Amino acid sequence: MHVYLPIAEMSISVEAILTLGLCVGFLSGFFGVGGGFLTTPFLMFLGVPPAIAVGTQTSQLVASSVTGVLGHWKNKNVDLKIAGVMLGGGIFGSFIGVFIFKMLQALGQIDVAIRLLYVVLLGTIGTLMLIETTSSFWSKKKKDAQDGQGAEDKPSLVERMKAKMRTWPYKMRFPVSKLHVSVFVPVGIGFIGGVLASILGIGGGFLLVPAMIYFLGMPATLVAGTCLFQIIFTTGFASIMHATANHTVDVVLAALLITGGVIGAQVGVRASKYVSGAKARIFLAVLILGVSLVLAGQLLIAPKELYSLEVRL
Amino acid sequence: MMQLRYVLTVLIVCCVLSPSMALAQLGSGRLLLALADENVDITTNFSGREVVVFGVNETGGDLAVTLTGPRAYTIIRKKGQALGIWANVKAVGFSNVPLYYDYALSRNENSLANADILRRDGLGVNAMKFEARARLNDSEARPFHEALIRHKQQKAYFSYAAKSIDYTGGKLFKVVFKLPADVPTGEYTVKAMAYKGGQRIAEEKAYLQIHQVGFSAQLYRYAQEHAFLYGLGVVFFAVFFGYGAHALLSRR
Repeated sequence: MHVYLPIAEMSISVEAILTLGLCVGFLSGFFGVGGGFLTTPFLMFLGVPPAIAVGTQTSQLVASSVTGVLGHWKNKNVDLKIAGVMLGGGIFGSFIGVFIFKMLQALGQIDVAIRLLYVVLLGTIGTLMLIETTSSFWSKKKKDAQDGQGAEDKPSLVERMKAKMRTWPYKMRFPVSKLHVSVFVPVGIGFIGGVLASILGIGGGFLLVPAMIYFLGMPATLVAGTCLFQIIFTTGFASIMHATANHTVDVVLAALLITGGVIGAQVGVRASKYVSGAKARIFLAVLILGVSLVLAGQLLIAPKELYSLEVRL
Repeated sequence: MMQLRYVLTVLIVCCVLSPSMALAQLGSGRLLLALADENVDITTNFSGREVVVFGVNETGGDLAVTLTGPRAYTIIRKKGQALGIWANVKAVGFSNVPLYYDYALSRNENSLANADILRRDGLGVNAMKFEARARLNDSEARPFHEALIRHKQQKAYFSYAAKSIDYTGGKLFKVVFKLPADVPTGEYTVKAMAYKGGQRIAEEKAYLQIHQVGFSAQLYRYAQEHAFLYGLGVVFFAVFFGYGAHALLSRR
């Protein structure tokens, strides 16, 4: 069955979009990730223009983040003060992001820019995850062996950056997370999340969560809920910005993606009970790496069709 | 419903035809054109449609019928390697490129008229020549021009070959164009032209409106005219849906 998308002005297969929504929903239920990194490339693959794919995807993220945050909210695992400060950076970031998006579009480089950013981000995250999950059990043994020698190497890059961040001004207290840090740290993390949301159509959870743990030093129990809470607002803001500035949010496409996502999430949550966490993480890492490799291929291998067409109305 | 429309159109065309029989005998043949339906309504379940053109050709000449969509500035970009990555490195813009083009001929276009006349009348994909915005010589612009036509043909926005014209009864003719599911919206022009001895001897136009209607059209208009409220509405809808999903998930 086909449905006509009123904003994209194109007819698209309902089954294809629902299936995509299902898969992404399954991932978000299973791993607790947004799955936006899959939606945008696949929508582009189905012939949806990148601008519509990214714009619409932001509104789908609002729905899945609301679903995700409510559980954390009930368990009081949301630090509202940090979320609020991050949001300040997030709103500014999505504003800048929509502007950069529009500029790249005018230059005709939006496709390349989106792919390149995806390759860099997904490639890095996927590799790190794979290394971490596969080495976690034998690195324990190694550590035991090293303990006797007691030799500490030079502090890692993260450690050095953290040390530098402690010297930043405008310190603020966050009682729920028991933190005393410079406001620039949460604002900066939020800003990056906002830029990613509006340029790539992703919540950026896979980048924000580690940043909040390593750089901000937030307690792990609070990170997921706080991050999701913040993502609702940045993606919501990005969605409104895309609708206003670019007219690229298609409500029919969003409804289909959200419907598929809701069903997929239910299946994913149940399926996650039967698979061990480590195996699931390896699978997710391989999936992320796979997507980045396909996109890298599109950038590095000489395309069959060198020319592309754009109509300016 | 469609069948009834065809019958009615044929009847109307015949009524016009009968008095004109006398005129035709006087020498000056007429060319008439009618559309089975002057509106193509795009609804949410639109998946392409046929456009049926009826007409009467009393000129005795050969016939060509074109269907042309609204025109727009169209950019063709060429990829090249920059720092090892395939990125767009060159762009050429063309003015007044129709969003959609299809045509039908009663005989081979080359035996209809010479290349200059075919180009002037916009007959056939091969005769198309769009004006590049940048100052380029012919050999520089040609690959971009070819790519433009190739892309349009691959999307089924330009036809590969001429459709045929059916003469259903003597001077009465019928042409069927098939619009794809993602046909661009706007005002389309249907043009019938008669040729004799390599010259155009008659011309007739009709207009076709292709627009979204109903729910789909209202959404489109609202998104254009009240963009902010539309965006806000989509976000509220998403929050509502997300909340509903959580309620469903946590109940079990």
